[in-house]
Amino acid sequence: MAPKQKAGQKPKPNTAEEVEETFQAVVLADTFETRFEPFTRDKPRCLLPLANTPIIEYTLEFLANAGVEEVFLYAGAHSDQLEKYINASKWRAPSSPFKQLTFLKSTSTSVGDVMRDLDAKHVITGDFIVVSGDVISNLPIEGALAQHRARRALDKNAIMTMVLREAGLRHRTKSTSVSPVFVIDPTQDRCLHYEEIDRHPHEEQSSRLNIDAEIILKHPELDIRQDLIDCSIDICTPDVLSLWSDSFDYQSPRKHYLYGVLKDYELNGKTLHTYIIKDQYAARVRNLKAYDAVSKDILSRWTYPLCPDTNLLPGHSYTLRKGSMYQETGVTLARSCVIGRRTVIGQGTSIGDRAEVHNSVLGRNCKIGRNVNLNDSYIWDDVVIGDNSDIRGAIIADGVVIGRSCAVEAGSLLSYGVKIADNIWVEKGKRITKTRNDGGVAKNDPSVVGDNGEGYEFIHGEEEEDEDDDVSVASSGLVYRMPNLSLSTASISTLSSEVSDASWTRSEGGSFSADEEDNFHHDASVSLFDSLREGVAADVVQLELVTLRMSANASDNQVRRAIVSSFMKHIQQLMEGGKGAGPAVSEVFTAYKEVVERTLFDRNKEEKKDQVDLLLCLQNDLIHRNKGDMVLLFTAKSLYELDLIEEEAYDQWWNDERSSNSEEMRTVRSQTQQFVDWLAEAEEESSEEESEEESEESDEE
Amino acid sequence: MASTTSDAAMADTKPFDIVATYNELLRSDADLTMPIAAIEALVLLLTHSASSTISETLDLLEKSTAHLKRSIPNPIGLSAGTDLFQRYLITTLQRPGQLGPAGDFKAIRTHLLSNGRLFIRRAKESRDKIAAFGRGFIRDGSTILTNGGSRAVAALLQKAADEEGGPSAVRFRVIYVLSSTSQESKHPNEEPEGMETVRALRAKGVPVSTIPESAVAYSLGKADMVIVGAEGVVENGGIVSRMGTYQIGLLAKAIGKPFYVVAESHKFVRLYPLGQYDLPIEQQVVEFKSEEDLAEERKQQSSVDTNGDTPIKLPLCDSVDFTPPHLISALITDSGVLTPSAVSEELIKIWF
Amino acid sequence: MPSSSLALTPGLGSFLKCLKTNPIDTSIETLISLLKRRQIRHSRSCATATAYLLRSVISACRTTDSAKLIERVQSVGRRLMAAQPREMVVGNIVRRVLGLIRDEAEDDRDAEFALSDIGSESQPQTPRAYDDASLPLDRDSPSFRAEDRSSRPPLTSMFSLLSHPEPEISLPSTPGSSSPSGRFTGHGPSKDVRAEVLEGIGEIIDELGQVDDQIAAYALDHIHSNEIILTHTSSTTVQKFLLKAAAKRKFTVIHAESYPNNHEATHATVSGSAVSDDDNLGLEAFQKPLIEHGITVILIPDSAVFALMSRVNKVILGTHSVLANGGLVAAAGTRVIARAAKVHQTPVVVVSGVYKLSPVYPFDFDSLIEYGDPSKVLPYEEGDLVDLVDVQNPIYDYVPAELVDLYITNLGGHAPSYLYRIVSDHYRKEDISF
Repeated sequence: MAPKQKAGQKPKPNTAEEVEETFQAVVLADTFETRFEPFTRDKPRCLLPLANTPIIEYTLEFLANAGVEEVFLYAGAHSDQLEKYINASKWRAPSSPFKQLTFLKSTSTSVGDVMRDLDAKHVITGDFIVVSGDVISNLPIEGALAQHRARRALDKNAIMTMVLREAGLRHRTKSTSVSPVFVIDPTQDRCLHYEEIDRHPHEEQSSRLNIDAEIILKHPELDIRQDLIDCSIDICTPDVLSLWSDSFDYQSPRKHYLYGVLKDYELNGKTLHTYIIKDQYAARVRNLKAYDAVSKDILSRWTYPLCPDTNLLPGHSYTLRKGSMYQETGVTLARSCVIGRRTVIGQGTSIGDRAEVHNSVLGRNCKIGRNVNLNDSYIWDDVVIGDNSDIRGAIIADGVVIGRSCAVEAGSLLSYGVKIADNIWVEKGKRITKTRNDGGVAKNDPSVVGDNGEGYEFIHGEEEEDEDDDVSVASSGLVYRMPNLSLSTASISTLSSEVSDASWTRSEGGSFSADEEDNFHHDASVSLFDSLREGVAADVVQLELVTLRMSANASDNQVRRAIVSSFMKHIQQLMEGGKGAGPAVSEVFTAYKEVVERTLFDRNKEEKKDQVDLLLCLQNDLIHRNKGDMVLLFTAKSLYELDLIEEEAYDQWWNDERSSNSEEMRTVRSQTQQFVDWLAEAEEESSEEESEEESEESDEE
Repeated sequence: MASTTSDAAMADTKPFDIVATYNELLRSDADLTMPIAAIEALVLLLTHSASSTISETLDLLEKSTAHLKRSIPNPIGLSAGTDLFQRYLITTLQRPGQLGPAGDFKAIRTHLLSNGRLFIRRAKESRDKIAAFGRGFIRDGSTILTNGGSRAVAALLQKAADEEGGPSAVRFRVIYVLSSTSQESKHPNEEPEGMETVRALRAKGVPVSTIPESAVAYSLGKADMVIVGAEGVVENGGIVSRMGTYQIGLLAKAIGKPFYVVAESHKFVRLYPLGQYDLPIEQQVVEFKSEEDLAEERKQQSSVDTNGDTPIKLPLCDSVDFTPPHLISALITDSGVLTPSAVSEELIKIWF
Repeated sequence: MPSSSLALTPGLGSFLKCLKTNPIDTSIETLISLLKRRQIRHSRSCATATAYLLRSVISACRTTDSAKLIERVQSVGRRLMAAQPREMVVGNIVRRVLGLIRDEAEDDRDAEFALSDIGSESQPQTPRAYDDASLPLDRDSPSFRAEDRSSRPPLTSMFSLLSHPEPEISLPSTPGSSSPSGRFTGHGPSKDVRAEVLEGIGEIIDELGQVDDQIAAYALDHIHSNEIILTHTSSTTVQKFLLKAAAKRKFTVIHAESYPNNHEATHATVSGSAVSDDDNLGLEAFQKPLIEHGITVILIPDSAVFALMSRVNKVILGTHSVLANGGLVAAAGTRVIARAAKVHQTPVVVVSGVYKLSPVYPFDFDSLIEYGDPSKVLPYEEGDLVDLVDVQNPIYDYVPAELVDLYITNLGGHAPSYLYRIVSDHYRKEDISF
């Protein structure tokens, strides 16, 4: 098909060489982030509906549009669901525009792993595109590809072309909290430097950019641009993969890879280029805010022809009416209901009398009662909303039932199957889910969902450290669509308590910037957590941790914090899966004893600073967790049994004022009292002479 | 009266009264249209006559038709039926093929006689067909202005109202123009024509507003389109229908709203009226009277009773007007949606 | 078709290529997704793709039973039309192919009939056979053909009320299901149905290739010396029309630039730098722009149309599709021009191939209009505005029939009110809404 012809339209030099090439693409269906929690607990992110069409459809449509022939689809979480979906989709049919669609399940925990895996498989034969599974674009890739090829024909070292969309300084589709900065030499379209500037509004210090003086000296013309939407569409040569493989610590394609390769230009001599588009659409659904923005773009037809009335999925039958109203056949509208502008309504949905729908997307087979007010909301399939309810700015997943006279406020996320009883007020930014991290069903929380409701509040702390600092703020549910930044500040201070409240770590840790700390903390805990979940061997985990630590120049304290948070998260998950606290704790710590051990360097010292620190970390982490007190007790016991922490350390910890300086801290360690007492007694029995001071101390408690 | 149709009287012991039959048919079935009643009457006439030659039959038909037309105050509708019947007979007799070998008059006769009810059924079915065609005109959120008691319009509107959960359930509103002339006529208590449809639509949940004819211009701004029925569709694509339709057409044109006509194709009549006063009927709509005339009229009324020769005058409530084709956006018929100029084509096809 | 331009992005060229190599079902799906993705757009490309696809469908269909052929074409046609309902030519081509099959099937039956009944004249057979063969390429006046049609035994709807029940059911709607054709299927003559139909489709394809030249042949009748002509968009048909006249006469062309959807192409057309793109597949790029023929071309923004209209002698417009009621769907801005022309009593001439004439009555004008990418109106990077303003970019306009004075098709000139006649010449009633 087309790609074979592409050589024909291009200048001669590389004709012969490229005739045989098939145009390949790699789709990263999982981007190894948890920004779409709690929805992603039930479904992979790329199957979440965007204007009633799964996100992955847009991406594959884009590839088909670009004339791609071979697609490698890397799935991560919920890969079974994705595989099932893909196998049943039109992309597998004989008429699929792709000659080959390879579905790859990976155990990877980062984009870097995927790329290295890809390199090892030797399937890439020529130039290929890498896109994440959440790209929406109507860009015909020809221009970028031709430029890429032409460049490569001249210079073998031009290995990658990134497609960037110009978007002005402020734009709804851009991330508000962090902005990538590209330093570009416009004469060669070459990217010279890349950095992500944090734009957290609450941080007083002005954002800085560190540009190598050499760059400025060498290039007579430089564009420093912050107005670009990074749509993560990269045209790569196979060399890109080998570079990934060379640097095994690269995780993310921009922050690490792009930054790293640019920095090491002297070393590898590779150049990376940009292709800036001005008149086509390209964006990523990177977080919930982007979800909202891209949905709006789709409804306003910026993505034309990828609009609902194109009916990308075979069964769809949307038609466009005046005022960006899209409706499928078989919608039942009461005579007195009002359907406003920018709405999408799927088949089988019925809307009751005097209901009003504005700026919203409704999936199929929803039942909207009378007098319901729907504003700026995304309602997926099979949702039932009772009479007189008022919903604004929420995302409501499949099968949710909302009772009568409820109010759901902006930024609320109701995950799959949640049931809200009558007369319930769901506050701003509340996330309610039914599914636990491990897929099990959790206990209902009547204070959140009402007496007959189903679901519990999804606690932000559980995954907050996974979030990329930047987007987490915007995506933390609360403010996924709030233009008002002051609100987002509030959310940070209340919800991302751990990082910002943890001033005590900083006092100890030294003077590294909060940024680096957070980055390391995030990367390390995510990768650790994933390893634990996958059951990766302890030595591998250790190696990974060390690498990370080296690259980030992290302190011991940070490492411990990362370990604690990932371990506790994992334990929490095991417990949700039905394990008792005791077995869960001992299982994890026994298996990964070595990892913990390597963070403690005070075995033979008098003052057990590291061990105390570890315990404090634990205590601090467990404040936010379910049954934290129990876990702390078992952890303490486990650590003792494994000989990781000595008796003296427990004493020092118990007496450390930091461990009891707040109400929460005291509550969480209350259960551990018995263990400490027991320790004291045991000591008394075994060695009478040493026991004096200790028994006194424990008595004080 | 039967004595005038001498042929029929000769053929049958009991004289066949075509006018009475026609009126009886119309009375017995409220759903029957005038052309179909006329066809039925003619079929019955054939049953009662023993004529076996072609010319005899044609002669009989012609005479009876003429008589029927004379005796009915507004023969425009029925003449569509009688003409169609006549043309059908002639064409089938002239052209060999469909019903066996050429000139098999008997076969045609038996076909017609045995299928009387079938025609009626088909005529009614054609209304459903129209409703199916016209369905597309009624869009979600639209407001339709209509008048009169056309069964085809009623069928169309009800069909649209029934469309629950179909291709995007249609929510529409109706402005129903109720004629005031019928109220002041002989039956003051009788409800105006169309009330039945209004009730039926309201029962289906369609919001209906009823307005007098004088409010049409005022209300038309709120309507998206006008849909009316017709008694007859004439050769140039114009329509003859109840008094008041013409003015709605003029107003719709002036305000720029589409004006659609719903009519079965058997209502196409071979008539080419050049204007309002060129219809082959007598209407007393515009009557200039002085006090003197009125006095004379009163005197006459007391003395004279009408005899058959004087043309029968049409009461005001049954009077019709002619809506010329340039006011009509489209005709929704059982053979599709036609532009007015396509009507003559259809007529030409059966006459030549 | 020659594969002149080969693009990386799939389009008509790649589709035609794929048609040759791939199984038919794949090709159908491919065309559907191409239509959905708007990778094949514009009337001619859609028509060409549909015609080629249906040709393959029919040649891949192993049956000789015309009823089955019709069914197959209908089911394919329905899916194609659903893929992009606003490309009405797709439906037009499908209906014409259906009509071809029906005609062939009926010819067969008539032939058999004539054989069995010696007494009856075989009159219906001969003229119609001629009719079908000449249909796509007929340059004769349409009235001649219309006479031809009306000489058939009357199957008019008005008589259907009274006709005999059996013939009514069997004749028009489902040929093949009734006894005569049932008896004769598998016979020699019906064997040819497919071949005849394929030939007919070939003629439709030829027609698509020649239509512009045929229309241009009427140019000299309508464009006179020293006239001022106003036109719009980069329509190939209009350009050929003007070029033809330019060979003999001197006149002035005012060209509205049709911002924002077509202005670049329009500029290119005016300056003669137009590249033959995918849409004009198989047509050589304009050899020379009008200016090289010594024609004065004035390029104006769309907003100046009204101001200049008083000086214009004639408006010549291209179109996207023409509707049965005489209205048309054309590039956005056409209605403004037509309206302005009406105000100034300037004649409006629409040039369009017959293949763009759709038998469907436009119930809902809004649904005919495709809304395109708003970024052509407001750049997407205007972040603040994008969030606050609804931007719409309709690609088409609906122009009501009363604003058009004359249609020039490859069959000649017609008044808008006369179009129904051409519709009934080209499409069978039973196919209009299938």
